Amino acid sequence: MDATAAVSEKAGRGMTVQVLSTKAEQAILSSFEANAAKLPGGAAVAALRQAAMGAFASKGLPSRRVEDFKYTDLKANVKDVLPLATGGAAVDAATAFGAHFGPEFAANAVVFADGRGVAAAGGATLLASVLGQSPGWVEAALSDTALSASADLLLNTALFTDGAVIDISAGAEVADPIVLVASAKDNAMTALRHVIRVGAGAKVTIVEVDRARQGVGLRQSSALTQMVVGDGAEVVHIKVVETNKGSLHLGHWQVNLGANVTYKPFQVTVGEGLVRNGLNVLFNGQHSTFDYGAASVVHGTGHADSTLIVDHKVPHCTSRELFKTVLDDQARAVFQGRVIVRPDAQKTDGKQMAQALMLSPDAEFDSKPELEIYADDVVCGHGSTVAEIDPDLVFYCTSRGIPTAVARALLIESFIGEAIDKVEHEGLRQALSGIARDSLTA
Amino acid sequence: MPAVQETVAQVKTIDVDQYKYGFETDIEMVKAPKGLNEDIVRFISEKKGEPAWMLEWRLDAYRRWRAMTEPTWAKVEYPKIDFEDLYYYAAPRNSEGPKSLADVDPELLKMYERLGVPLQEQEILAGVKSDKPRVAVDAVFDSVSVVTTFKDELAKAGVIFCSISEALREHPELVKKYLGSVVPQSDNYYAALNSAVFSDGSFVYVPEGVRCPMELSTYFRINERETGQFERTLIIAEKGSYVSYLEGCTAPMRDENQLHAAVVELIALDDAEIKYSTVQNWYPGDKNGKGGIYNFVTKRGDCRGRNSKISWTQVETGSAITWKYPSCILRGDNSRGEFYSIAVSNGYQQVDSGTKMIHLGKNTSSRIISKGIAAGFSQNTYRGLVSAHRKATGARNFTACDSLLIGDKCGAHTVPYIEAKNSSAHFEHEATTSKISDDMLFYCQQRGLSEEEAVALVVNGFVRDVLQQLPMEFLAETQKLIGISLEGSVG
Amino acid sequence: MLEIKNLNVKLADEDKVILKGLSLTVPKGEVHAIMGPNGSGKSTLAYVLAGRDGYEVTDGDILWNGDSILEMEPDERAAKGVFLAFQYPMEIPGVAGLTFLRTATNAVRKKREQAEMTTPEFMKFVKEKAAKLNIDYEMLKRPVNVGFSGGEKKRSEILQMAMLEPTLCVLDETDSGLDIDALKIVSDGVNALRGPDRAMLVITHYQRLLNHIVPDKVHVLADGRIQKTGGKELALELEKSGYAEFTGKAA
Repeated sequence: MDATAAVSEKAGRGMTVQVLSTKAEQAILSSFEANAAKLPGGAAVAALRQAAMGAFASKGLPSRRVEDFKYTDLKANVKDVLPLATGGAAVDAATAFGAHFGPEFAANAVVFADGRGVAAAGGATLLASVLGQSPGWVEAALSDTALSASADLLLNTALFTDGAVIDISAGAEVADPIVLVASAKDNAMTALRHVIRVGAGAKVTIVEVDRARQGVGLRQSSALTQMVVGDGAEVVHIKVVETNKGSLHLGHWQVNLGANVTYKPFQVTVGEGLVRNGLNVLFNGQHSTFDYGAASVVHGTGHADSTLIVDHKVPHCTSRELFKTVLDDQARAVFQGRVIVRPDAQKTDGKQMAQALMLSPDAEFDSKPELEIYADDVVCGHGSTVAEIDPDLVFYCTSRGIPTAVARALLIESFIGEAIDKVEHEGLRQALSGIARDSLTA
Repeated sequence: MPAVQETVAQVKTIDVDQYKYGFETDIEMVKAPKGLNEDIVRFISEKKGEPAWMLEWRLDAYRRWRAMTEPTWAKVEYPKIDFEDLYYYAAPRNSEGPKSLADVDPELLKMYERLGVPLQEQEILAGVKSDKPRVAVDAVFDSVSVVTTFKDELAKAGVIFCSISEALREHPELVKKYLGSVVPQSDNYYAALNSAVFSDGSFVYVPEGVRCPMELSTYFRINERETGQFERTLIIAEKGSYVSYLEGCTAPMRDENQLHAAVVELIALDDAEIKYSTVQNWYPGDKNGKGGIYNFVTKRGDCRGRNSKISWTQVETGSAITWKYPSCILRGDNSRGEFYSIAVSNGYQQVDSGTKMIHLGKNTSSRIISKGIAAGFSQNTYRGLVSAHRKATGARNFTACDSLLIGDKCGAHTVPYIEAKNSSAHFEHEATTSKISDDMLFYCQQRGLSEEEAVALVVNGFVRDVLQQLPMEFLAETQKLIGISLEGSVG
Repeated sequence: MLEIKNLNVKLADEDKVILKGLSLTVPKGEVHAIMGPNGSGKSTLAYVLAGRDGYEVTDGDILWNGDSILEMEPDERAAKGVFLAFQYPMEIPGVAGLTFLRTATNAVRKKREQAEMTTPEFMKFVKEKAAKLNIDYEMLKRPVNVGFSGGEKKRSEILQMAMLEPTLCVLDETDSGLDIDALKIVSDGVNALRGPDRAMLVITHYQRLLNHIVPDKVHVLADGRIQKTGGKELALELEKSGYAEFTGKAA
């Protein structure tokens, strides 16, 4: 049964009203049909894609009526769909990276040009090539049912053209960060899928970079990373998204943690486009720690959404979230953080903080920190603040002779710096600070 | 005797189901036939002798309701309600005459006495029982108001306090001007239903510059079987006036679930202040979750004038299901909204409650203090919205939501929505969830308190910020109520 | 008389044995000190006397005035006269000190079949006791121990002790966190409660407290049992020679 048939059948039974009503939704469907034969993977993967597109067709792009997209209405905001890129000219890593990452990162980088990996590097292989050889765990991961709940994820499953496969063996300590960089020609859509497995006791830092540079053409990108972290492993996971006006990035990380794991994700988002970064973390083993940080600087009519679900399924785990956003012009940021503590997850320690600094009267911040708790012996809390730059602090600085503009810049940088300081790797912290600083002065 | 021990002593005197207001009163009733249609709406309106515009207003609400569906977003679960299997009007046979204490059925007076509601106006006025608080009471029994006390004394100050049915007859211009101006007929499913069939409720009008000389209070009692209670309360505080109002609610213990869908509208004009307190103790169902009231209530205050203030305080201990979000529309510049809440759930109770603070005017401020206590198998959710619109410059909010869990079979959830649509908004939100620490309980026990006494003490400490907002007259009773609600939650 | 007989205690949740056959007798009217190195089981002994959860008595017994108290709840023990002054007193947010004191005093009095105090009686009683301990009455209107300094917390413990009129007082490291003035006030408070019907067990790591609360006997607790018993001079010896002798024995 093809996807269109699924739609008409649903409609025929009168179960679903007005799905795929928008031009963009129709275009996605057409794009899938035009490209399906070219997409990597054997029959099983093709069937998976077909089913995902069928499910997407019955849901459509999420509108604000879908609670998780309440503040990021994709149905209303995604007007046009760009053609899917299925491979193209190679780009050198330095160009793809931009100015802030030092040359040392390029050595371990896998560059994805127009949706296809140029070459394997730094321990990462390419999904498209791996699928041909069919190692079981990768394909099993692709069909994880947790990814069929939301339309944005179904879209990735249907359309992904490539991605990285990273398999860190038990006990391995990978010294240099593994970097995955996405780049594409103007006016194209890309869909990447990264599948990562970190063995017990291993240590690794993984960085994902997706840049749509200011002044160049539009990009639409979907990037979905699945990761399973083995017992006792330590993972630092960084993401940088730069978008320009009119561009769209739909990112999602689906992470399963074993016991005694330390998982430290950090996400930087800058620019003027529409960005959605989902992150679902499931604690499967005890005594693990999830320590999340995020910094975003949004301009123009930019819209940056970070939506987290942290699921404490087992006892004795700790989760920390620190989200900071600086909003200028008519920019809008969204933070949704749900912490679920299941009935047996005693001794859970969960804390969450979301803070927005508003630089312009027209900026908007929507925050929904949510606690869903079914165990009694827990300590959980969240905080959320919205404010302008504190005029008293500006005055204090100016009274010490600092010009107002410098004082403001100082205060904004220190605000965002509090989050970025969570990144321990010196070179990465410098790079992220540089990206944020550039964006603040843009 | 200190409050805690009093609580415990009282707990020991009550039966297993812990609910002391569970008795029925045998009164001859007039009822409309079961089910809901336009004829029932006409019947209710006619019974009340309402003006034609009011009937049209109700019918309009009824037609809108028919086109709506029940909301499902709250974190509560219950079997679908059959709205055709309910009585929408029930009134004591003798209640339709003039209303003074002398005319009230003695059975009813006896019932209110048993409930501890002070209706003995003459005695208090004559100074016979001078220790009783001076509180004017409107007593609502099933669908109608049976008596309102202290009316004459209030009238001297210019304050109108009567049932809304009477207000429709005596002050139609006021009702027409304000009814539905805060909660429109089609606001939500239950508000639409209420607009169509509300049978009674209280009406308060405080004229310009008047500080209402005493606490006003309405006491709601559901008695009749298979009957929905739909009361409507409307309070208007004119410029520079002040009023403090309290409602209390109880119902008999029954195996069936009964529906209560009220609407409360408050309007505060320039410099006016309304303080609205609720002690909600509807029957929560038995220890296995059978029976109890479904409490679907829309409460909203409109700070329409500059410098106006509306303050909601609620103590929610009863009902099988509570669905309730007393809100403030901060329309007037410099207006202020407050929400103080204690929600206690035990047994199989489900609470989904919170507030909305909608900042529209300039320099408006709001404060939310919510304390949720979940025990037994209950689910207790705080759901709230704080929003500052584009032009609401200088909006301020502080929110603190704390949840306490007693036992590992219950759930406590916090779902805040925080929306700042302009840069000068200054919002602070914090929430915590924890349990009563074993160390603290041990410490209290080491000092001689039993485990139950220790829990009651710690819980009363936990909710103190909110209790302080209640009128003095109701404080002690409320403290006891919280202790009783948690009976059986430890050990 | 307090009689601890061959007390063996392990942690309830783990296989860690803390007290290994501890025996001790404190007659009425006497003050005994328990001294010992860190980790010797001093605080465990205090908690087991008061009946805290988390410990399992695997052998032995504790008798107070001839009756075993092991099966009693903490509040029953309190009514029976057992009072533990905590090393780290708990903070109870929102509960005023006065409310707490009155609730506890009357709960204990009721269980002892004494008449409960009326509010005026209680106020008079508490003011009198507070003044002696140099506790500002205003402080009692604040929530129990919340935001108190170390010294204030310890004085508040001794006030509770005075109010509840216990017959067995267990003081767990009451000197920790006290400067010399506070130490004097607390000690005076304790000494005022010494009497022919009251037994006291003073648990401390350092000798200095015993200059102020002079004990009748000193016991050295190490490795879960009493290693040595002597007069007050034993404390001075320990101050000089340390606990090495006993920890050595343990190893």
